[in-house]
Amino acid sequence: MLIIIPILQGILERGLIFGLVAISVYLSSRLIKFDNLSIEGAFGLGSALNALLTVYNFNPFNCLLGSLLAGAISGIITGLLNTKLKLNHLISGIIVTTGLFSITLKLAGSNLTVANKPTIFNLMPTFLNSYQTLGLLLILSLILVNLINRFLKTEIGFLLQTVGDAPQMITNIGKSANNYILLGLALSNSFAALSGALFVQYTGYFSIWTNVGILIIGLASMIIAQTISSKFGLSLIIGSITYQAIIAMTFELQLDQSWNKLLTAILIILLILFKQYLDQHHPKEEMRSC
Amino acid sequence: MLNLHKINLSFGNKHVLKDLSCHVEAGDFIVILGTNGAGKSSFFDIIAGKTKPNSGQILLDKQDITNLDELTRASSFTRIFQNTRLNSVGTLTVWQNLAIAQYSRRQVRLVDGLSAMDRNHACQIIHNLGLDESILDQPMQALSGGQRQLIAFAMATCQIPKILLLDEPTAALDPQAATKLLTHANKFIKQHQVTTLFITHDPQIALNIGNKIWILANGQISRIFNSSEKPNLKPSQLIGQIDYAKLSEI
Repeated sequence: MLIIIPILQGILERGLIFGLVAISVYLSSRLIKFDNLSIEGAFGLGSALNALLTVYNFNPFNCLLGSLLAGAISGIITGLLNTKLKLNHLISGIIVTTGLFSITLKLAGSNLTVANKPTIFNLMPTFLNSYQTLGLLLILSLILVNLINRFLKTEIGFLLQTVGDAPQMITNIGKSANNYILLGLALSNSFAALSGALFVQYTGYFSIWTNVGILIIGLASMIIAQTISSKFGLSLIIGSITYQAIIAMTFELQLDQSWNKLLTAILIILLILFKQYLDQHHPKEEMRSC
Repeated sequence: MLNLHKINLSFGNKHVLKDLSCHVEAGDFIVILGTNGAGKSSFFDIIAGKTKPNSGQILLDKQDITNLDELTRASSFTRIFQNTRLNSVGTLTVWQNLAIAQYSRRQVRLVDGLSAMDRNHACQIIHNLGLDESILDQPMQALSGGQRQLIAFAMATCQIPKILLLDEPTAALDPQAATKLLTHANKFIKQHQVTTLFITHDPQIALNIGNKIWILANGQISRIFNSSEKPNLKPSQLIGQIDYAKLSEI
């Protein structure tokens, strides 16, 4: 039992951090219906910038904020490529992610250790002992999910939900559909970048290769979440934790970790089939958050 | 009211609109008849500002709007598309969709989506369409194509636009649903004197609604049947016009 607790704690912590990537994927692919491949680049950018700022002894909260803003800018650039240069979703995302790889490399090199530097996890008094990281991530996730939920019920949030389905309607009411696409992508990528920044603070280490495959982790987590609920909410975090639990099982089964990506790919196929089965046999009205 | 003067539009080597000129008067209900590929939707794209012409001038109430973008023109034109999914948000409820349409005209504040619109007002709109108020809480995607188009029409006309553009709104509907939409639209447009342009490729629709018929062929308005000619028109005359258009396009 004592051995399981740290494993569970690790699953929960990683699940909460990567839950932000699941939120990122949801915001772009489900909310504004934009297949956003730049999430991967934004995660890398967020983690590299956080590592760099941490090395220069910036306040860890400012590091998170800086990463979040950088992510938002990467989202806006992706949106501009799509809306102004008329590149399609996938190409816009690929271009931004490719460009961000170089920027990430320039910011923090291929590896950068930030251990022993202040992070949001070691700034707090240690009254919660070993659970303070988990507690902090849980509180942060709850706050962020709640903030987005509230935002989606505002005028801008309400219209943001319409742009993916019916951009013409946004135009008809005299608003720029393009601006809403930019806003959606800025939000999406800022969550990915924030997740990257938190991951660096959590592990105390930056690696250029960490972000490779991050999009697929977010996608798998979101698909798991969608089997629970198609609405925006805590299901995304639960989906991410479930995914991390599945991956942790492969460690416990002592599978060669080289197979991890293949396992994820197979998992996604199985999840999609399961979701299709659920939709066919238990159809439910697909409604958004408001 | 609306004047198009020598409009030209090309996509690559394809000359879609050729020196097209026409005039729409306030209160006109014009049915634009043409075959597939005649340039009907491009004609609407030019008017709504979605596409800019290669040359020519567009005047609305004597104001040159040729260089105004789609967003600016949206206050004057409202368009309903053939594709029902473009006219409303499938994942939102009927009530929420109506709220967005109301919001667009600044009649209500869209503070909290659902509560933004008065329920009684929404019920009234639904009753006027001959639908049951229980559909208010259903997502749009759960409705039939005919119901979606009826609600799209109500959304488009919640405040009368300067010009209503109906882009083959019945093309994807079964005959029964199409008849219901046409009957409602025809009645509403006549009652409120809405200046309307209605695109169709169906001569029967052109004969049954509107007060003028324009034949769009070869990128031009090739023939105009005005309000005095229209009542005496026979289907064969119209079909002849369309056949002519088809032959000349070959």
